[in-house]
Amino acid sequence: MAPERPTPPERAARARDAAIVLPLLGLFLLLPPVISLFAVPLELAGVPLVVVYLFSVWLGLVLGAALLGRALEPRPPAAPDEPAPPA
Amino acid sequence: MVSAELILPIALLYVALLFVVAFVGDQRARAGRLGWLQSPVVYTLSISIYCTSWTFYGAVGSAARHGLEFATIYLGPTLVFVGWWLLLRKLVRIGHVQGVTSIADMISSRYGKSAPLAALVTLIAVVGIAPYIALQLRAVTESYQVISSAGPEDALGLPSAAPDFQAAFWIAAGMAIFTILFGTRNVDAKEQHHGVVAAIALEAVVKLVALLAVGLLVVFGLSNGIADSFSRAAPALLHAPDAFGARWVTITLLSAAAIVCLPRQFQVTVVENADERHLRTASWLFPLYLLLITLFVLPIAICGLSLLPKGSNPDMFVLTLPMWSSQNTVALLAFLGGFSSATSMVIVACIALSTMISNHLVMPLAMRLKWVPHNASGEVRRFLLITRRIGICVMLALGFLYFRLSGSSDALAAIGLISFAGVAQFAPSLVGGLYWRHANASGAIAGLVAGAALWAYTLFLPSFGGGLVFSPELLRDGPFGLALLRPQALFGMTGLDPLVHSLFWSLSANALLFVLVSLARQPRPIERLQSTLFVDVFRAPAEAASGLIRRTASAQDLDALAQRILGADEAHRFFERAAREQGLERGPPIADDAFISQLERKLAGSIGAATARAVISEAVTLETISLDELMKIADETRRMAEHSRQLEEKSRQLEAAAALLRDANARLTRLDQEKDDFLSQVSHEVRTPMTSIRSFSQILLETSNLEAGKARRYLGIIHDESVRLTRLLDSTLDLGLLERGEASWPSSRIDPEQALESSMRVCQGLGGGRVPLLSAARASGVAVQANEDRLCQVFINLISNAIKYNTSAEPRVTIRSSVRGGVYEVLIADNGPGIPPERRGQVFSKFVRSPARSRTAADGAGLGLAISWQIMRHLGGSLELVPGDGPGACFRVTLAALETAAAPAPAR
Repeated sequence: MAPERPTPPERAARARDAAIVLPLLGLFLLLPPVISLFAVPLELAGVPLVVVYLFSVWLGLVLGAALLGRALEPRPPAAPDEPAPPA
Repeated sequence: MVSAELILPIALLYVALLFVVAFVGDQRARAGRLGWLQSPVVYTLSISIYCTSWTFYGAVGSAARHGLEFATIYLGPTLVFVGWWLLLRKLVRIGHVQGVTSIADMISSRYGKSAPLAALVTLIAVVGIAPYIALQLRAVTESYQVISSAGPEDALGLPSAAPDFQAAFWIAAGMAIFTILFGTRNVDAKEQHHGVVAAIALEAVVKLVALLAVGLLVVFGLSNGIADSFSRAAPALLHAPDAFGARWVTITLLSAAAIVCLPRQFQVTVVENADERHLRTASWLFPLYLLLITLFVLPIAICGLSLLPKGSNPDMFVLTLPMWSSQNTVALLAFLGGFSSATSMVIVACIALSTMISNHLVMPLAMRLKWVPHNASGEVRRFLLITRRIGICVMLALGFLYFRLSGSSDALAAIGLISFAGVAQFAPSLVGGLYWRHANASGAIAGLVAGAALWAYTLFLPSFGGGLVFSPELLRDGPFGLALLRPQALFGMTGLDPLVHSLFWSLSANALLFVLVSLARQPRPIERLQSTLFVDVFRAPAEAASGLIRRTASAQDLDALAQRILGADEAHRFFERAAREQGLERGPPIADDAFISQLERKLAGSIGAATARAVISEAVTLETISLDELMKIADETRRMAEHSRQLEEKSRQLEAAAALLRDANARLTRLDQEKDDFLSQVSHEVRTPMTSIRSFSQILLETSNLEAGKARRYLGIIHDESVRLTRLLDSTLDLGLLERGEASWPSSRIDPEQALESSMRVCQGLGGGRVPLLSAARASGVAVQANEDRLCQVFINLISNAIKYNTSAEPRVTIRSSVRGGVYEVLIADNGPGIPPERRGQVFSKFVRSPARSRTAADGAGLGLAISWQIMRHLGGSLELVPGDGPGACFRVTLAALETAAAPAPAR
């Protein structure tokens, strides 16, 4: 059975929590010792692994922030004639 | 090479284009057609003035020297913007609510609109930003020298090429003029600089496109794709053993602090913000901009190192690589990109700093020394504009001076980091003040003074390399030969990178003093008020504050004051509007608390909160801050928590009460039902004998010649039925008494076994004597406190039921009695059909009979067990239906046993 779709206030609360966690996660991934794990002489398509890792985390943060920004948008209260979401 | 004759006109043409854009932007804003000027994209692009020529030229230089370290400068801001929900959202909201004009205004407002604090922050910012402006001047000067030179030495940006200070001076002058023209046209900082924002948004696009163009040229023109460009890298560049050490962590955190604390970043992020929602877009778009602008930094650095002659200046690779490959268009674009990034930074930084200088340094002095004529209308406004223009010139002059004095030995990034470390001193007071209620002005001042002093001692002054204030000997041996006080190895802390060393000492002292002094001192009422407004900005409305400060002033005084600062026209408009809002037909408005607060906020938009409060205080004759009210607001959070706790408690109580009521209601309904049942049962039971009595007596009455035998039989029936009726009524009365607890019989010490024996004798004859009464185990020498007749009544009832309802082929009744743990217990069991499970709960209710029961039985009202149950309850014992051994019913009677002399003494 598919999990029930969360109601908007619930989703907003989760998005708020995620908005607090995201920068901390970024800090965790970008500071030693985690980033030091990737500072090894390996290459990915000719690019050093640590460079690929750094820019991937960076891009991930951008995408995460973009998604969260949409989730955190204050939405107007749902119109009463709006069809109910399928349970 | 591009000829010098061509460079100058192109640069001037580009500046002219910026003028046009800024002019159009201002015109549109004035006409109220803001449109794209207020879009989130323009907002984000204006924030990207973070990428100065330090980024444009210096990132490549940094990458060529230290590998990946250049990225830390952009990772800190990325984290701050990705985490906008935590910090930036609150900053921007406070900026809107309080009408903040600069970071100095923000910090001083938070700490009770303290004027000394505002002046201190301004001073630190002015000194701290001077190296940063010097960096821009140097980058533009060098790039101009490189691109316009004919000689091979200059073209490669060799360090030997001495900086052209004359060119640098004219560049600084040109920037000052541009900034003055567009940055100081209006005084109210809240009116925002739309023209400037439009121009720097354009510049942000130019520098990104230029750097991407150079990157694409290097990766696909000079090398064969990404992999090829990385293959040229020296292994030491990207795999330095200590690449991710203390410097990595320090610079990441430092740049995170700088993106908030740099005066120009504060200006574009908080002051120029038109709509809080734009922050949501900037939270990902700005990090994306940073990602794109740094994407090609490593390939450019690697190619520069491998292709250009040894000893070329890495800070100029962005320019010299296209020139080396004779791509003059790309080189020109790169020059314009670098020029863009430098000018946009200088313009905004100078606007922000000149506002701070005029509001927090000059105005308070001017007010005290009465430099401004008091009566002239709008004089203050003119005065402010002049001081701001001078402030811009002062900032550029300081930058030029730093450039001249520090020489040109350092890399661009190293200079920038000195500035970062300087403004990072604001971080404890700024961030601490947003979340910590008890932070106060003394703590902030103590922290800032200590932090800034240590920063100057360990990083700023040593950056002149012994050329200014500090002699080379002092740097090497410490002041007066005290090795412990060596600026770059304070208290013997050697072996650390100078930046890490300086930040460790300055920020530790700063934060420690900030916290300790804040804890040691009680805040003044105005500090408490402001602290609440800042910390609880999402909870307490700003209007609540106006009711807390009670001030009285004459409207005339306020009018004169407003005219001095705002100018006659604007002051008039403001007063008219206020009067209309108060519902008055014509001015002047009533100078109530709300109006004075409104005027103060309006003035603060021009001259900053601290100065506005000071000038308002001149006109105000009496000021009190209601501490009680303040405490109420200050305790808002606690109050809300308490309130919700009480609500929860109440709802729990209500739920419990509701459950009780539901229970009581159910019991009442059941009782009511029982009473109804009882009445109808009694009527029914009474009706049967009554009917036969009536009909037989009728026969006797109406039949005259009735046979004597028959008449006698009928009279016998009438008699029997009357007896049954009487017994029924007796039982009902008896039960009623028992149920109400009104029955009383004498009770004495008796032997229950005797009562049981006599009851068994009475019942022996029932059922025609065919049901044997078996005594299994029996107790002896027991004594209980009871009424013997009543106890017999219970036993007889139980035994007779066991006999009467026993339909078994070989019926028998087993009786056991025992004493267990001071309790006398009698079990009366039969081997009949037993009581069906669904009826077990009701056997002690009234008028419940076994279905097998015959209606003609003498006391067949169905009250027997109910009465027995009540009797046992009365005697202090109990009557229960318990699971027996066999299929039949088994009743248990218990009573408390008394100590008896006959009882065997317990073993000693």
